[in-house]
Amino acid sequence: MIKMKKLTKKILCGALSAASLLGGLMLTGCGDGEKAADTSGAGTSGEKTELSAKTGIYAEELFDAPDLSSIFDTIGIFTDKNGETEYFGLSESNNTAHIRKVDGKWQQDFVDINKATNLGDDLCKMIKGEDGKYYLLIFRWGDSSVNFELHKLSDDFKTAENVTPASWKPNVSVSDFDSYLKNYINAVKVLSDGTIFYLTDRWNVYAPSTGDVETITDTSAASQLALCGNAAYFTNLDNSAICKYESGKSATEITDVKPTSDSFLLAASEKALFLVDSTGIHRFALDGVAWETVVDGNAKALSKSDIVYKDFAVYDDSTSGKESYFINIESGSGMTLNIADSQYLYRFNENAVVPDKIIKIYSLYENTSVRNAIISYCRENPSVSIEYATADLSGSATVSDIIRSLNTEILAGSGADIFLLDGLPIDSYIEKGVLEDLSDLLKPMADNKELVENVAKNYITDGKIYGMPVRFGVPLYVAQKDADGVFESLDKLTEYAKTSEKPVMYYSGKQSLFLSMLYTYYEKLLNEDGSINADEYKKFMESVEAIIATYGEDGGGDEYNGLGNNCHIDQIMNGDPIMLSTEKEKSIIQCVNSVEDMLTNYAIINEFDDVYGLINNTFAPNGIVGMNAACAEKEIAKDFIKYLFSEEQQNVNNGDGFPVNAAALKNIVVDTRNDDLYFSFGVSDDSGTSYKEISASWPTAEECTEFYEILLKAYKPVNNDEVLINMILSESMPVIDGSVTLDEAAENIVRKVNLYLSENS
Amino acid sequence: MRENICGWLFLLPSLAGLCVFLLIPFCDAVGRSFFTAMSGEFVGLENYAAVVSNKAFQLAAGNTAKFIAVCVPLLLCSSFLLSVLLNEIKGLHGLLKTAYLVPLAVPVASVVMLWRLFFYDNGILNSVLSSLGLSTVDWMNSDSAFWVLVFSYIWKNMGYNIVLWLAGLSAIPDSINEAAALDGCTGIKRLFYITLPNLRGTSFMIIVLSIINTFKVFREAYLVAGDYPHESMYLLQHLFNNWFVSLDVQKMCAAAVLMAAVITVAVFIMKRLEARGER
Repeated sequence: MIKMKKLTKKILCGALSAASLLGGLMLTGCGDGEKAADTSGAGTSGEKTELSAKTGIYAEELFDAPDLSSIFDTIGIFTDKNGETEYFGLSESNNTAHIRKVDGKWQQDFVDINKATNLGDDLCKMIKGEDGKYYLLIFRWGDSSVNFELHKLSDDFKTAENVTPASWKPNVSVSDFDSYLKNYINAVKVLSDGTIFYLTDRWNVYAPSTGDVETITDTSAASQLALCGNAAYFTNLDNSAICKYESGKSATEITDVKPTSDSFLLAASEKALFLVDSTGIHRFALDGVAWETVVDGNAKALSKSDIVYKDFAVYDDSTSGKESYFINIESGSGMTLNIADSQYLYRFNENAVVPDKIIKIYSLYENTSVRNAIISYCRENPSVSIEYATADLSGSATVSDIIRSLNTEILAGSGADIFLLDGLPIDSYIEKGVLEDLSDLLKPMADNKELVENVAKNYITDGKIYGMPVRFGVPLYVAQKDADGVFESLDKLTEYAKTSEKPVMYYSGKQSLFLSMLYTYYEKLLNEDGSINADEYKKFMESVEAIIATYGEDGGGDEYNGLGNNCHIDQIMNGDPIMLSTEKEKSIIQCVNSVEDMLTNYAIINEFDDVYGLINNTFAPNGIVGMNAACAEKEIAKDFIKYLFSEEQQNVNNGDGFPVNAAALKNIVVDTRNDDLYFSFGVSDDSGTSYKEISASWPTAEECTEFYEILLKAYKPVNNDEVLINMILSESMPVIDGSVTLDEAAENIVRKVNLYLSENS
Repeated sequence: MRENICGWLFLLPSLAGLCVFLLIPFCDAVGRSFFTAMSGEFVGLENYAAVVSNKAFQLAAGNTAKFIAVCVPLLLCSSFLLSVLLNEIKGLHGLLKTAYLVPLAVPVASVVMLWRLFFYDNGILNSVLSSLGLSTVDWMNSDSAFWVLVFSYIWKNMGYNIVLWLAGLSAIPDSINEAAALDGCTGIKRLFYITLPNLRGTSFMIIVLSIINTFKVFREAYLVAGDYPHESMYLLQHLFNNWFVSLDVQKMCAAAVLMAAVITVAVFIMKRLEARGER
């Protein structure tokens, strides 16, 4: 017993010592913690906000960028000797513009690097080495091969020295894909001592003095590399650690790191390493041991989706005595037309208003319009912080699993303040009183025809509005003339497919085709009570199978494997009109989300005298905004929703749908002209013997008006009950595979859908 | 008194756990079953009426009852017979007992893999049927899905029940068996007049545990066939799970209370029957 007591005492003593040691360590860290708080951005929790309220924050500013209208291609953005940003770009006349700040004002000079480098019409990138010199990487394209050259420019840009590494392979052939990947020069960086780093499918180091080449990253072009002085820092194979390399020494891991997404940027200064990703700007002092988040990415441009962090610079801000950060971001996706660079500055401001009100937004899918609106709203309302979270559908969790988690939060009263209801059980949420009636906010807009009537009226029930889409797309077909009208009914489509001698439609895999068809024809499969009509379902499947019979299971492209549990319509209806230009397929169906989407459509339609139109007058709502009835900050949430539907925000073309605001829709589709826009694309048949160049420009005023009228005819939202869609999908794919008969599948679907409907009766 | 306090103290940790994780949530569920899901408006027995008249509930309750009615007697009889046989085999007794317990230790994910291997369209069973020239069966999308579920339940719980029966059998004093043997009561007679009456207490406990275990088969059913399996294996837990997706918490709570009430009544009846048998 005594022994037992002694042992207990020892354990207690040990525990107390450990606790006091831990406490001591924590207290030691507090000093630094306070310092970290000084530099941390707006917190996501109340406590953090309270802390930063006393200490100021890093605020995001749109960078005072120069007018770049005179240049068509920016080839480099750097920090000059005075710590100011400077731009290099190619002008239409193929001069090189050098834009920099002189006496606080942007000044543009032209430097002639053509003569020195014999640049001509070749593509190039400018690099600023750690030695302070400018280098030009030139891509000299031939018919089917490319040569790479690296030139070191003199300070006055009048002369250049060819410093192309001897290890660079000449005449890299495009046809030999493996060799092309291994020898294509993606990027170049230069150390103070002249050592050249170049990225092929991995980072290599070339020592000009000896001609030796060393490969420093295992593989993967995704590895990030940053230089500072005579040291290089790069992420390892799985981006879990940062390694340091110095000439003549082997690389060593210096710190662990975990970027939150594949898209991130690594940068280095004399004092620290920087990691930029969607969560913010993170700093690792070279003489320190841990990362600190200096700029919180929430509600900032850093958190945008589909972005590439291109350039980063650190300045010493004499006003605040702290670092300032410049970042150049490339955002947008799809067509080149939608991709643009934008620059931001993060400066510490002790007097900045610290967000003291936080609202949360949740959606199953990322919504670009909402994300961008959050950024601009928070910039205009510094006292408000908006946290936007989306579900992770990349793992094994199904949409149902995610909704169950969300429901747990809603029941616990900790759900988001605003929901984007795409894919969520809207009807059930309305019935249970989860959603706030937004009629006081949106009904006057709908009544005054400020909202597009054919879309808005679908979301008004008994005078109440519980959700409204921020944007909408339209499923369109583009088809050869003989296919005109066949998309109106399944019978016509089946008949057309059965008699067609060539593929009826382009699709990227049978699952994509099935879902595209299901979204567009779903309503035709239903009985009056909402249950599935077995005969109509069989007709539908007959049509799908007839189309597959004309092209095979893969269609014109490989099955898109990135779907996972994601059945969102934008991911499915991805028919590309360019496919029609090969004249292999007769039609495509696609979800059109912007006028830019129609550029190639019109080019194809005009070139081949094709036809296009809506399918069943349906539209695809995107970002159905609803408000949690239990929202604590109702006024702010409503203000943000109002902001989302304001003409100003709706006029922003995010490429993810047409505005629901009527004036903005007319402005974007009819009034906006971009007549200077012109591009062409070449297409050839499979054998490569027939080649055709097709020109595309902004649609004519008549075409824009015609398209606008088409948009106004889309009055039925596509079904977005993903539980139901997934149920039908899982039962139907075995029919296409041939492992289940159509009758069996129809029976199973009718039974399951009835069960699903009866659960909610 | 001191002994009582000591007993309560020992009981306290598990009682606290039971209260926090079961009793208090159940009381909350009882309360919610009389109110609307989110607004908390009192609706009396409306939720119960909605649940009882719901076709999905009727199907799920019917399937669950059918599953219990088929599985529990089948498992009780088969496990009892095997345990009696095992009790007689002296040499391999331990090894066989362990072998029967193995399915209990197999993780659910592995069981699901096994199911797929055996019962899917291109699974082992259909391969065997094909090689014998017989037509294949869509095991998971036909009425046979129910029997697949029954098989899974029996396979998984057999070992557990055998151990319980063996414990009961070993508790019967040898002297009784020896006295019965001297009186000429052997074989079947001994089974009915000596063994079974002495296992009355054990059998009550095994029946209750077997019923509880029938609800655990949902995990395998869900992982193999998802939210909406063939209707023959659509159980109450499927319905509860799906109701949670549509936030029908009030219906879930009412159905849970009904289910608890039915089980309580069944246990109470069994307890009375056991008590009557004791007398």
